[in-house]
Amino acid sequence: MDRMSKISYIHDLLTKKQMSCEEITKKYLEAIDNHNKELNAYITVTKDTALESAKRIDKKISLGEDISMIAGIPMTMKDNISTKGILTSCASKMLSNYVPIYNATVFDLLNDNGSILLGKTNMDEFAMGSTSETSYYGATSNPHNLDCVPGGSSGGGAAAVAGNIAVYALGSDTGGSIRQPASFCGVVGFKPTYGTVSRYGLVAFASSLDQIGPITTSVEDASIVYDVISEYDPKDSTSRGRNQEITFKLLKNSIKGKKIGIVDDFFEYTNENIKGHVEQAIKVYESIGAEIVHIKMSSIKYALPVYYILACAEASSNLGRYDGIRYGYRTPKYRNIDEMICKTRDEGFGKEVKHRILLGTYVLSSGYCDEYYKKAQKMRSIIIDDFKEAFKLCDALIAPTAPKTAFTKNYISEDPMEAYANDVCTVPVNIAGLPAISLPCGSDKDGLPIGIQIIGNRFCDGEVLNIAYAYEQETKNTSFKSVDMGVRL
Amino acid sequence: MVVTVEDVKKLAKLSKISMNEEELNQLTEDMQKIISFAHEINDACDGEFEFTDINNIINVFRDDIVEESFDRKEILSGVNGGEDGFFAVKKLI
Repeated sequence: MDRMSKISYIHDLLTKKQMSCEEITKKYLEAIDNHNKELNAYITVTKDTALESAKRIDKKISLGEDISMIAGIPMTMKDNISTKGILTSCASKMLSNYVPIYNATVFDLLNDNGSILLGKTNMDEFAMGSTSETSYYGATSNPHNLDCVPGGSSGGGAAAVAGNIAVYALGSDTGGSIRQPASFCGVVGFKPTYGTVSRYGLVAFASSLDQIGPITTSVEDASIVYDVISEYDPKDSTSRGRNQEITFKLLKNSIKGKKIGIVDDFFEYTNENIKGHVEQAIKVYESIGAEIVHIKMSSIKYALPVYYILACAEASSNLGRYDGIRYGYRTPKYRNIDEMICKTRDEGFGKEVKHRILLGTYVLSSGYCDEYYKKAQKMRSIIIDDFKEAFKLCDALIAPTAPKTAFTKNYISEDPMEAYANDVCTVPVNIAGLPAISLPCGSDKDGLPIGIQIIGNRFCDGEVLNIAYAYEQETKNTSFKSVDMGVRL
Repeated sequence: MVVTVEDVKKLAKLSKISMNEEELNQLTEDMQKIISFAHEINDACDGEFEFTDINNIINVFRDDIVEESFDRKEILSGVNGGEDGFFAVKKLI
């Protein structure tokens, strides 16, 4: 099958009655049975509800009712997106028994459109990490090489999509957690403009940076899913909804004359092989009529410390709610309330989460707040202004998604700074609340995928998708290496 | 800027996380690295300037109308039903 849009391909199969939704769903469930042991992409598989939903879609089709584009498409969600009656663990011992009593808005929107939830996917604990190794449920593997990490924190979703055990996944992106695993697994990951997709029901890590978005095998699919989930939501106080009517309609627009900017600072830590591939992609853009402009952004080099100060500060506050009293894990032995809370948090949180809570507490504590937190907020303003200036000179920026390809498991766990530096190309986007997409542009000598990133101005999500789509159409299958596992339709 | 074990102990107390000696030592070492890295922006933004509104989004308030909330039983389902409609912890005195 042509990989370009799996969603429209399956939609056609269903509406032309070539396959039933139940048959397709069963294929995916069977593939999960066969491959989840090696990938560890799923924490929970929702077999029964998936089959029930599939039967409902088949009934609709048999009655001749119209179905939405995503109706009957088997998908998965990261385990930090609330699902009523279904475990939502955040891959943490702290929430290993937590079953929400409400749905995230994105899940309600998907349900209203007839989505088939196959299960909930693995991730770094509380979305803190870029390898999916810090999960309480064990590390996820990269379908391209099982000894390598799939990236993170939405590593389970990216591995499930790349390994063909889900058509698409919803992830969350606080500093690159959708785009970097998409790049490591050779799939498409889209982080929308902050405010366009409701965060209601997304377990909070850093509220001013978190954003939900799709992981898919094509730009077209990312656009289809984004159009469904980007609705204004009164339950999220920072919700705006999307600007354009439907991004899908913009995909086929010509990008002739569009200005694509290159900022050298994004390439600073990038290895030569990846640089070469991004330069190749830039040539493709030139060949289809885009104009390349070089732009200076002196503040980008401060994006990493700004990100870690602000994200940890917000996390230390957001994770204060886990006290073992109202839900989640509670230590079995304690003498007083204070000991109960301290032991619950010590036993319930993993090392990386404790690290970040303590760092956040440090930068917010009296005496250090002016030095770190307030200065980081000021620098955030400078970075935002620099992006505003950059977008006066171009329509979008092009950059690598990650400075390296997928690394071997346990590789970076020893040095926290090296791990953080891996986020250097993705965090500036979250700091400024911009839309950005990662899409495959080839692979390295070991066959591991490389991703390019297209970054757009706020609320120009349609533009970002259109520019990415133009590249994908031009390069077709040359930049994409599919994995020989999972469902073949 | 030097981070000491005592600093980390204080942070752990503030964050309500109890920690053993080994964890404390490891964390002190890691924190030192992270803090010196965070220090980089200190010199870079000394001057005075205005804050930009971070996400160009204004807080949206809903009308102050009482609406139905979650059912108490449902809320207590996270702690095996609680006791007499309340969250409960072990008797301490």
